[in-house]
Amino acid sequence: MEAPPAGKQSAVIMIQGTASHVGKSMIATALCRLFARHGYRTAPFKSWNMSVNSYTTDGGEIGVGQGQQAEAAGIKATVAMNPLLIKPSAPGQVQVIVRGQVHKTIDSGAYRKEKLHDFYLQIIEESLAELRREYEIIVIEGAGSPAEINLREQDVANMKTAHLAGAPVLLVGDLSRGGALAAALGTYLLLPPEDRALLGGFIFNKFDGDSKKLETFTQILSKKTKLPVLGAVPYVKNLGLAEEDGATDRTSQHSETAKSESNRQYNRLADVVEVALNLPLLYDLMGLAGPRKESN
Amino acid sequence: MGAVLMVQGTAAGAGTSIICAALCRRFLQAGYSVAPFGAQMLGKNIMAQESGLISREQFLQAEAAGIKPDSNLQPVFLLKNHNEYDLYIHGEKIDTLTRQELQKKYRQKILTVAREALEALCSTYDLVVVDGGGNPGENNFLQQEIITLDIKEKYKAPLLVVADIEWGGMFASVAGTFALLSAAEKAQVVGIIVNRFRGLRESLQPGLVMLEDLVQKPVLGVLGYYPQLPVVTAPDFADGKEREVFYLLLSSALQEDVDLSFTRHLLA
Repeated sequence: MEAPPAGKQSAVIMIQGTASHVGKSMIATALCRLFARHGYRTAPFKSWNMSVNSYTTDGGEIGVGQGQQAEAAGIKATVAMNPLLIKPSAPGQVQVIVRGQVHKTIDSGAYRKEKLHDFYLQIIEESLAELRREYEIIVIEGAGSPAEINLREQDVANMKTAHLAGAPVLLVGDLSRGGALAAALGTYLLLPPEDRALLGGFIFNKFDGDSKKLETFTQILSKKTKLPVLGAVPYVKNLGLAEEDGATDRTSQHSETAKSESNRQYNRLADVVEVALNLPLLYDLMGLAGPRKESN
Repeated sequence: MGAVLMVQGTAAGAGTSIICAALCRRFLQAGYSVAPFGAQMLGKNIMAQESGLISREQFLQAEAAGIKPDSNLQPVFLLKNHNEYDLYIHGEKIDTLTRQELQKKYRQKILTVAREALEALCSTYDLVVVDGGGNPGENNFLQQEIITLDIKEKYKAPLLVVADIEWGGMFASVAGTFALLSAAEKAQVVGIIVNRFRGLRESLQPGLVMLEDLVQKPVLGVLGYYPQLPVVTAPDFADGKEREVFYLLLSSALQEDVDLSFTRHLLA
């Protein structure tokens, strides 16, 4: 594949969620594979991660999600893809892992109170710039909800990263437990105007096929937020991909059988998302004309 | 005529069943006769009792209230059966049908049965605690209709909104829920209970003040995360003695962490 013209800024898209466990990672993974299949050199990025599990790269540890997303994108994972990893290491203790290496181990109470904000933002900016020099599309994943009004200053993973990257944000809501409309609308309502301006639309995940409900949600959201719903992604069962917050180690990362099984799963995810989402709108948000080649 | 208190979540699984059980025990301890009522219709964890089938959630609430399970506590429920639903009325299976057929064929019957059961409970008990399940803005089967018609309009039941904070997004779910309520529904909300909190209270507090400002309703309390709760889906479902400890624990958590002073007027 040819390299993009020198100096050309890569396109970005950011996936945020109304809460943890709504399926942000899954959708970001699917997009990494999909854009790669469409002929774009794609990389994942999550600025800040809190997870027990990690993925080993040549430069050290990053979040499992970004390791898998790099696999899905068909590239080698690097520490720039998740430059800040907060890893609970013992009860009441966390390791602060910066660009793959343990920066320090501190008391989790102390971690919450630390003013690391400026240091973090600098690391995030540098890592993002590094990826943007090399890749054409960066798929950025947020963490938790961007509307935690008590944590707005500390939250570097969501809107602060979106502003640094100038990324349009898609907000993912989970339909499986009910209250998805309230969660999506409420997230929008709690964001300050400068953050709302970055929102490009909503995605609903774990869709059970109730199209009447989806239509109602789309209408209400369109009326109250003027933003589109890009699609509803059906519930994809038993992915066999490691859970970010799970308790098990992903030791089989390099075995050949595991690799080919993961590869099948990434394709399946991309297939599902390719059908479920409004792709012209998605490409338009990223400032791209569309797929460079047919999905294979 | 007994009073009715209504509990609804910002989402399914927000913890309304457990909080209703806690309320049942709290008011039992305060000297009132209490019954739970399940307006929740879609059942998952069903168990057989003398009175017929009952959901585990309502069983738990009845036990917490110190009363015998009775089919009036959850007169109508549905069990998913492939692409259709088994309809149970007063613990007996009546029909198997799709959601659309259910609306067409049984709407009136279901509303009447629910209304009569609630009336029967109200004439027997000082307080009926209604488990309204998931988000009030979403119509799940006829559940919301039962709630709106009778419980909200006829009984003017105050509504407690339960918001789960475990996976985050709590503030947004509450703000969105209020944005979707009608003015009349909003007027019935007495306050918000935040459930399953395990962080530092002092870091949550400023957010709660902002939330109260935003929705113009008080946060009545923050309940912690109780890993020892009996899991309703577990085959053994804890034993009787464990459950008893659990009701006491819940009741004292409510007493310590939640401001229930609004009920003084309700039970006067």
